[in-house]
Amino acid sequence: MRPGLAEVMKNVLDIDSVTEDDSMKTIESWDSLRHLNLIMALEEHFGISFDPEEIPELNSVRTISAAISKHSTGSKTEAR
Amino acid sequence: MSALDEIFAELDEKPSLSQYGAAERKLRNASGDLAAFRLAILANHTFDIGTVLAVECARRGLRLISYSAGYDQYRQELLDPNAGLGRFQPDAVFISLHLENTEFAASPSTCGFTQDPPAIGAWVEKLGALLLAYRKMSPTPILLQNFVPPASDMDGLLSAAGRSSVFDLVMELNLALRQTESSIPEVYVIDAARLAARNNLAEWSDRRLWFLAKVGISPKKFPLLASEVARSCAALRRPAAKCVVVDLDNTIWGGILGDAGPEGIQCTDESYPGNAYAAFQRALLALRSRGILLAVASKNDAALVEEVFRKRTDMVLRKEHITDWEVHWEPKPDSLKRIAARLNIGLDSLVFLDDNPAEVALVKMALPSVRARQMPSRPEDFVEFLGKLADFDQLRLSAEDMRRPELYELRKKQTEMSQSGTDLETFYRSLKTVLAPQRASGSNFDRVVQLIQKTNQFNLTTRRHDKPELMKHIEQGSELWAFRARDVHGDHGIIAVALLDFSADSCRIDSFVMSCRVIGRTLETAILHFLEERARARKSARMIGEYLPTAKNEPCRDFYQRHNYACTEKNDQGTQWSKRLEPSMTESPEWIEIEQEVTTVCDPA
Repeated sequence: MRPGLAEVMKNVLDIDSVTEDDSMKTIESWDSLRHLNLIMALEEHFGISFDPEEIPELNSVRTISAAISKHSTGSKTEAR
Repeated sequence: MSALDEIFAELDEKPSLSQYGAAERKLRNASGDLAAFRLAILANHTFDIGTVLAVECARRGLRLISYSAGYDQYRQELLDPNAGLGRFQPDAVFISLHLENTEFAASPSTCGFTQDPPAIGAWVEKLGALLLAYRKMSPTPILLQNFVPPASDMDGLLSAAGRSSVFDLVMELNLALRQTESSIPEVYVIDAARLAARNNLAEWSDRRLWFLAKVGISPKKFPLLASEVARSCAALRRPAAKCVVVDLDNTIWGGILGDAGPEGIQCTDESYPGNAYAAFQRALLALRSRGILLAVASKNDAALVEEVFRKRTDMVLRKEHITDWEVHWEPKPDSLKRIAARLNIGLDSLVFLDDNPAEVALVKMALPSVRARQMPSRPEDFVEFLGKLADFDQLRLSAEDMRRPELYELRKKQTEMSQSGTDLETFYRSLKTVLAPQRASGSNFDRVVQLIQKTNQFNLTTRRHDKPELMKHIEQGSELWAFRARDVHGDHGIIAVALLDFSADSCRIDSFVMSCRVIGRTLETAILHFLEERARARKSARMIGEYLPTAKNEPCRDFYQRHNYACTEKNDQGTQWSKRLEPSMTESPEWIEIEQEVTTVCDPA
C-alpha cells in the first residue's frame, strides 16, 4: 500500500489494520460522517485537494489510492 | 515525562488530523486517571469534532465522554427532557451554530448588503427562549459558540459604507448573543469569531465540504476550536488562579539589577528590549484589573529593588500594584509558601513565572500544586505567552473579582494596624464594621452562588449548591441570606452566605460560608447571632449546625464549639452541633453594627 495511507486510515478510522481490499463496506467505523474527516486528513497528509465530485466516490482503499496518485503531481507531495 | 506528556509532545511536533486520531487512540490507555467530563455536543451543521476534542480535553486534565446529537437536532434536544441530551446527563452542553444553516441564510443578507435587514433581535430571542426552556429542566452549563463571518460576500467596497453588510450582521448577532450570555445563568460564549479572525478566517469553512455535506467548520480548524472548548470545560471544573508571582530580573525587566543598577535595567518604551518588558508589565496589569493579584518573588537585594520602584517613575508597574513581596536570597518555594499564607489563598491559586529553568524546576518539585511556568526565551514573546496561559481562565468576572486587589490592599493595611501594638478589641472597634444582611435576590444571586461554589476555608459543610438547588430550598421555605460588610476602609461587598432550613421546631444551618478576606474579625459571631434571631422569628426552639471537614476548612473547625454549641453526633462525615435558643442566644460582638434588612424580598429569577 502507498506509504502513509494505512497510517492515516488507521488513525482516523480508529482501526488496527487495513488492507487494499477494505472499503466503507468492510470497516464499520467508516461512516459518512467520519468519511469527511478522513478526506481532510488525507488531503492534509498528502498535500493534495480532491474535487468535490470525487469525495463521495472515495469509499474504498483502492479508489483513494488511485485518487491520491492522480492528484500527486511530482514527488514533493509524497515526501511524507 | 509522563505517558500523557509524551503523547502530546509527539502530536505537537507534527500536528495533523491523522496525528490527532493517533493521539486519541493512545490516550484511551493512558488517560484513566484523568477526571471524567461529560460533554454533549449540539450543532446545526455536520460536526464530527469528538476525536480532536478528546485530545484537547486530556491536555487540560479531563477525560472526555461525549455525546453528539443528530444533525440540526439542537432545538428538539434542548426542549425534550427524554431526548438523548437529557438521558446523557452532561457536565456541560456545547452548542455550535453555523450561520449558513440559520434562517438568515434564506435571505440574501448573508451574502451581502440588503435593504431589508433581518430581524436579529427576534432570532436571538428565540434562541434565548430555547436555552431558558432547557435551563428550567437542567442547571447544566451551556457553552454557546458565536458566529463566524463568511469568508466572502457580495458587499464589495460597500462593506464599509453600507449599513447592513454581512460583517455587521454577524457582529450584531454576536453582540446579541453576549446579552443572552449575561441574562441566562450558566451560559458562556465560545468566541469562535475571534478565533477565526486570528487564524485564517478564509479557511474556517471548506466550501466543498459545506456544499457537499453541510460541514460548517473545516475539520482542519477543529484543533483550534477544540482547544478553546476544552479550556472552558477545564475552567468550569477548576477555579482560576488568584495570584501571579513574578521574578524580577529578565522577567519584569531586562538585565540583572545587581549588575546594571536601577538606571540600567530595561523596562521602558524607548527601545527594544525595554519596550517588550514594558508591554509585559501592561499585560500583568490587565490581569490585575481582572482581579488577579500581583506578587514578587525575587532573589535580589531588597534595598536595590526598593530603589527601582522609587526612582524609576518611567516604569509601568508601580509599587502599589504589587500586593506582596519576597525579595531576598532564600529559596523561592519558601517565598511562595509565605505569600500564599499571607494572602490567605491556597498554593494551587498561585502561578509562578520565572525566566530561570532551575527555579521553575525547584518550585515544581517542592510545591507541585503551584502552577510554575517558565518564561519564553525572548521578551517579545512574553505577552502572547501570558495570554495563552489557561491558569487565568475565568468564565465570568464578578464585581468582587475586579475589586480583589484593592480589597487585599485594605486587608494588608488592617493587618499592619492590628500588629501595631494596640490590643485586638481596640482594633476591632477602630474598624467600625457594619454588617448588612440581605435576602439573596436577583441582583446579588450570582455572587451568592459564587461564594457557595468557591469558598474553601470558612465553609462549614462545603455543599456546593448551584442556583437551581438554592431556589428549590427557598421554594420549600428555607431562607438564603447574603451578608455585606463595610468598615472605615470601604465596602467589602458580599462576604458571607448562609442557608437556613426550617422544620417543625428547629432551624438547621445547611450552609454557612465566609470569604477568607474577612476571617479573624469576629464577623462570623455577628452572623451566627443574626441567624439565631431568624430562627427565633420563625419559632424554632433549637439551632442545629454541622461541621464536615475537608482538606481546606480547618479554619472553621471549632466554630460551633467556640459558640457554646453541644456536639450531638459524630460520624465519618463530621460532627453535628445543637443549641437551644432559650434562655440565651449567641451575642453579637458590640463592635459590629448589624444593619436592619432594607431590601425587599424578590424572586431570584
